[in-house]
Amino acid sequence: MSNTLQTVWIIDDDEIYKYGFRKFVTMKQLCGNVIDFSNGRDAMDYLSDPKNNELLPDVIFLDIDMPQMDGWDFIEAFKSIKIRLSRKISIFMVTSSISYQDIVRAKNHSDITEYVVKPVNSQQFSLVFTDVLSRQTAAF
Amino acid sequence: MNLFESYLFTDDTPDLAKIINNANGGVWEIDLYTRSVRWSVGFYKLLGYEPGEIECSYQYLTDHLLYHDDKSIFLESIYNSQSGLSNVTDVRLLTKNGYKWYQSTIQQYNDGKLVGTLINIHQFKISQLQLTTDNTFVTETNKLVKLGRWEIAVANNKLVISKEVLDIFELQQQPDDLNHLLNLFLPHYRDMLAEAVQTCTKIGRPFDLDVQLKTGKGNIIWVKMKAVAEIDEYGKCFLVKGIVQDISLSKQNENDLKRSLSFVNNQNKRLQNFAHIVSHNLRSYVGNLQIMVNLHKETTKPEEQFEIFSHIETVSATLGTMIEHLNEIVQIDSEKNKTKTIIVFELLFKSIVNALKSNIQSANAIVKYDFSKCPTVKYLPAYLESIFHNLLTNALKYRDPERQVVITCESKVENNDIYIIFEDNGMGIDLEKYGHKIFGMYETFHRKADSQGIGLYITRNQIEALGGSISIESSVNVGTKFIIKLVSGANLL
Repeated sequence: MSNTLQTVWIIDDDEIYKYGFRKFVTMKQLCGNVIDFSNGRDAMDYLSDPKNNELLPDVIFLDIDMPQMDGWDFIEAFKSIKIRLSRKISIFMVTSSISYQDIVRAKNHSDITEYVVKPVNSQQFSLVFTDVLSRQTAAF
Repeated sequence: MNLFESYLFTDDTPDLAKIINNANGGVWEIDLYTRSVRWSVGFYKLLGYEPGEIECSYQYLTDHLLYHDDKSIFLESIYNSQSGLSNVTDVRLLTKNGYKWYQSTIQQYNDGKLVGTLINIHQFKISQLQLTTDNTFVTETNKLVKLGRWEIAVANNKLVISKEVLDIFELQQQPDDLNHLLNLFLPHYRDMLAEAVQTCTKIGRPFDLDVQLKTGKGNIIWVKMKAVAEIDEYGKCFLVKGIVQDISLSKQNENDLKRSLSFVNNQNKRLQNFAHIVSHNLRSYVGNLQIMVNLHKETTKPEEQFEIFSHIETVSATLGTMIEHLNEIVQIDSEKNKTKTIIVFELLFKSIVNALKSNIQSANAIVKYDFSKCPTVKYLPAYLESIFHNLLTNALKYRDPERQVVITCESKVENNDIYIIFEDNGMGIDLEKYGHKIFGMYETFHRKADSQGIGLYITRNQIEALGGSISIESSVNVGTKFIIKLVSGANLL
């Protein structure tokens, strides 16, 4: 096992945030490959296409408020297709929503690994990656 | 009169006299010539004395026993007495335990003697007095709470109503039958009430309804109609007994309260929404700014620094725009008290259409309007301008390129409320999914580069700030219809 993640997805409609995220991950060499989507629909289309079975991510950073398909709809869709996926994917909800309902809902959802509130500082980011790594290692 | 001598005043008396003496009644006699007076044993006992305990004289009767206020009426009955006719009066006499009510009957006989009987009617008199007081009390109470009684005899469908009901309904005379009464109620409530009465008659179910009616004088009032069924031994209803109460005032208060509650609720929702925007949007922008600044610090390559800095510029510009938007929202509430003027819908709408001429032309859109049902409104011109502008821009922006674009705007009046109906045949929106967000800030639902998510939010805020409301009907690929209540309860000329 290497100490970096293979592939990370970021699903968010905030372009600046995505840029910052990508830059940060590259700079810290936390992950080899970052793929981003602007909404849940595009990501789900990619995910459910069997052609892409080899290109699946280890981790998805998912926003809640998005056009087309929002974070919660994505989670619902994910539930129904995850059985067909070739690997286990950890989903982190990263959002600026501090709504109590959202937080409780995320904490109680078995498909969501963690709920992270934006803005995420670099320390938190590093922690998240370490956390994912240790989970992945434990799984193997 | 041997009745007195031989029987009434000795112990050796036949049954009849004994009975009279014990019957709570007293007999007295006066000889108009000799002025001699006799009182029966029962007379003494009636007043709580033993025979001989008090002076037996005409003067003692009138001056000591008779209550001073009753003296004249008593004396009158004596002077006016004619033979053969009995004179009945109610008087108060002083007993051993204070004054009590007696009924006095006086009869004159041909032999020059006057005979009077006294019967104790104190209890009866007190009850009567109590009853009168109670009745007055009830009448006054009913008047105070505007309450009346009514009854329907099931057998002959006969309607009986109390005087108070006539007063409440402002009627000159008793209604002939139930239908006559029912006809006073507003149509919707008439059916409701008729059905309730019928059910009450049929199965005995009581009812309690708040209904509206038009009184004999044409006033619209709210009344409470409440009734129960009286049933016979077989369980059949034979009488519907009810009350009617004028509740206009409390109903009006209730409505005022409801209105201010909904106003406060709206205000609260808007404030919450505003707080949400401030926390959600500012957080994400500030967060982005922080990330960028950190990245800028940690990068050493000049070209990367340049790229990151350009992002910092973008974020700070967006942040600036957002603050401006927020400012605009806050201003809506502060501007709402500015002077309203009479606006001619057509003129204003035309000027907006003119201002958006190039957009309309490039969309090849047909814009129609009809303000004939309500040509004018008293409103803030700047707001109405902004509302029309936003709706029109919105309709053009989210048009369906596959169809000839048709946009219509109409005004109408309903229940004294002034409405604007704005309809397009554009892309439409999935309300089941986005319905709760449609009038929120920075909510966009279509992949369009120029979607800012601010227009409808401002529109909603302007409308609600002036006490109106906005709702939407839409279906995807068919079109969208906005129903705007501009003014509620307008005083129409």
